[in-house]
Amino acid sequence: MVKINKNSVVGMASLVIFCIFAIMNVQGGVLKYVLFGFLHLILSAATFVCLTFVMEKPGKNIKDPSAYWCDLAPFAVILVLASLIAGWDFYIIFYFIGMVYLVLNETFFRLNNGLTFKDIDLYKPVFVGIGSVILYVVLSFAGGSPV
Amino acid sequence: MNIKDGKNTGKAIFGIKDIVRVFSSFSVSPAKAIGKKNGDLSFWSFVLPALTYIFFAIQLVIDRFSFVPTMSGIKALLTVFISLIVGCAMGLISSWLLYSVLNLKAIKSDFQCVLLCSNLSYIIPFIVSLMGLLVRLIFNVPTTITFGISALLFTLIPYGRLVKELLKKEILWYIFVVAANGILTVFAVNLILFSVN
Repeated sequence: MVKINKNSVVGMASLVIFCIFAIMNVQGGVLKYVLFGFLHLILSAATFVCLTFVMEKPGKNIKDPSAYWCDLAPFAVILVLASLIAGWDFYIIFYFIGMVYLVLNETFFRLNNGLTFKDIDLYKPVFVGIGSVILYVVLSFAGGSPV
Repeated sequence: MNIKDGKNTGKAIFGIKDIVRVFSSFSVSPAKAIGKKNGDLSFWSFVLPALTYIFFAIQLVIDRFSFVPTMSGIKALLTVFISLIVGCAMGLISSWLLYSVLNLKAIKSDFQCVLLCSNLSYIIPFIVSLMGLLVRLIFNVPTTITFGISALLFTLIPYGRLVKELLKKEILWYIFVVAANGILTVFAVNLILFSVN
């Protein structure tokens, strides 16, 4: 069961922003938009559920085990502002850096707070984070993204 | 929290070996530099952002020489010089931004210490940017986006960790500082791209 709190909402909003940018950059007809829009939504939802599952389970003795979602938010904000102000659309790079940062930061945070590699099952968050990035890149390029 | 410089019993940083060892551990977590006796290093740490931006500019200039026949040597030199200024300015602005927010939230801090920590977040981008330049020179493939821009955006990872470490519970301020630094990086890159055109 996924608990929804303030941090989760921030994470969800960030994932939705990345999802919207990916959909906006799909090249082709309406059918392709609908298909890739649906696939990107599924990917965002799956990323949210899987990350929540692998990150919050070993974080029970941490005060705020869902705080890691706030790590993705600055990258979504930068993407929106960079796109609006400077016309950048390197959304894949921002998603990649955001996910790497989320996993890396939370792993260090948990290790510094008394948890061991065994406790956090490091391969699981890394697998989910990198897997999500790979699928995002594949879907973006399959959808005809120029970046 | 007190992050005053030099008050801690931390070991002084002196030889080249020490610098390499310390820099490798600071590359992922620049906040570890807090409390070290680092008075002289805070000035020399400007080398990191400056060289990162210079390597990016050199990659960009080489790309331009390959694709744009009107590209001149003077323009190339000017771009590299601008990137040097932009790199130093970015190092200063990002640390000043963090220092201002720390002061605003009444967290005692020392500007030199914040400056060093902030500039240390350019260690990984510096290495990635150098790798990009080497790949460009050896394999002759365009690396401006894959290595250059990515390297500069990679700064946000250690910088974000530093900000989170210092502004522990101030989530909104944390998002603001990291996002502002990211936007400034975007503008810095745009300025260099503009100067080469």
